[in-house]
Amino acid sequence: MEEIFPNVFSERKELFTKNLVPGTSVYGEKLLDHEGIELRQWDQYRSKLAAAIKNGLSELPIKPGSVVLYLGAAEGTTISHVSDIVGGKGIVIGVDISERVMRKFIMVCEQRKNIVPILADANRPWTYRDYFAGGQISVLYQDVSQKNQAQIFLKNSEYFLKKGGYGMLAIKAKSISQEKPVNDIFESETAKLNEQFNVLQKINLKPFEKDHEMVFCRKKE
Amino acid sequence: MQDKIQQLRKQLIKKAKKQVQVRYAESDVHIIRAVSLLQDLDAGFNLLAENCIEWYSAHFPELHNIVKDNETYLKLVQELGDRANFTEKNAAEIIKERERRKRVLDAAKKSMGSEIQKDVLEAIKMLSKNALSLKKERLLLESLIGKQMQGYAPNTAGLAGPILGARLIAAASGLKQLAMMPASTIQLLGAEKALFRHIRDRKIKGPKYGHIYGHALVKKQPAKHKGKVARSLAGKLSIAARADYFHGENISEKLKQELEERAKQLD
Repeated sequence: MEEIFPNVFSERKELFTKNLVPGTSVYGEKLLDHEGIELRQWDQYRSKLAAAIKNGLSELPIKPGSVVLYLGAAEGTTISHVSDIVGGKGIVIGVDISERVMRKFIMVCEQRKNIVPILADANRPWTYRDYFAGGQISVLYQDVSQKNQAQIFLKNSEYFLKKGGYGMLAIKAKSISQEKPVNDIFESETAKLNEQFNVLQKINLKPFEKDHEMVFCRKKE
Repeated sequence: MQDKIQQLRKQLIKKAKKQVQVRYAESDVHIIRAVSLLQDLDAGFNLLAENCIEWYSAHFPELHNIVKDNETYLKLVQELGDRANFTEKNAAEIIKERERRKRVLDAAKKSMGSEIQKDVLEAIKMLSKNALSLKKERLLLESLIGKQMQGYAPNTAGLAGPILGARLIAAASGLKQLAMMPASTIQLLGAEKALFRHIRDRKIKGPKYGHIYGHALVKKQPAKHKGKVARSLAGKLSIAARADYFHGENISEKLKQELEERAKQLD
């Protein structure tokens, strides 16, 4: 067992995070004891962030104490691991548009004191800007299957992400176009980020996800 | 600082809960669940019926050739059971046609099926009972959908029929979404697979209709007019859905008339 990033552990092919709420498993994942610390297994086939780490993410911007805006929270599987990593001093704000997944997500939020749920459309960031002052967010993470993924990312970055903050964008090629070659889509979407961001790393999520790419970038000063 | 964040967090959890509650108080949630269950019930019924027919055929293989309707078949199995019980008196209630009834009774006397143990027969009867109870539930659901649609989306229900209307709402995942859709999207709801196949490879022709193919007016058209009628129906349906969502008056009769006129013009 090796700690590859703060609170993120790796052994053989599997990833783990340090459980913030010992004794509870969020979505049925395996719990493990390692030298007195309880670890939760992090399935790279279910979480794009885990897949990106597996495929060689150079640096994990989500650290203990980070303030993360997470767009596309879904049922809260990945976000529970983000909550593990940022720990008690950090905070994660999870946004999702669907009431269906929010039901489960709220239950995760009640268990973990560092997650805040917002039921809103990430495409319209002004509808939730009143809840926190702009420029406080240190990491913007986005995983939504929308045609204007890059645009949503830029809009939210404009409203909330502080200068020099980090962004992680999971691009799903198939929600942008069914017919264009996948690599062309990745390229044109990444190019859209250039006005606000410096792209640090692009990671294809094969074989864990099909036609997905994770773009790791930093907001210009 | 931490206190303030926790306070805000509690407020936002409360707010999200409220929003979820409001959404699930709407009728379309139940309509969507019911219509999706309807399809699963049919699949379940067919699966159980198939099993029952296969099993009972060990005892009376000729029956399925004469009674093709699954529901009648299952009723015979459940109420009569053993081949020896196939008498004029017992079967009269279930098989209405005299000709067919006579053939069944004749076949029962000369059947090549083997004798069956009592407890095995009980298991088969139980199976048919379960399958039939799914049919009963289906009837109940149909009337529930009819009632709910009448109150919630009278125009869509009036124009498309309650079940088809509900199917469209489910495919759009809500009346609101359906009302916001362009008619061309409504026309192809339920034909996504064919549509994307066409987009990937333009040599393959695109679909002309999705769920709305189930509408009687589209079905009865000759092939060359089907696409045209489907297009007009989709147009009228989008008007109906908007009238429903924005609480307009009931205009389904007027829409229906216009649609029928359009269909007549085609010949």
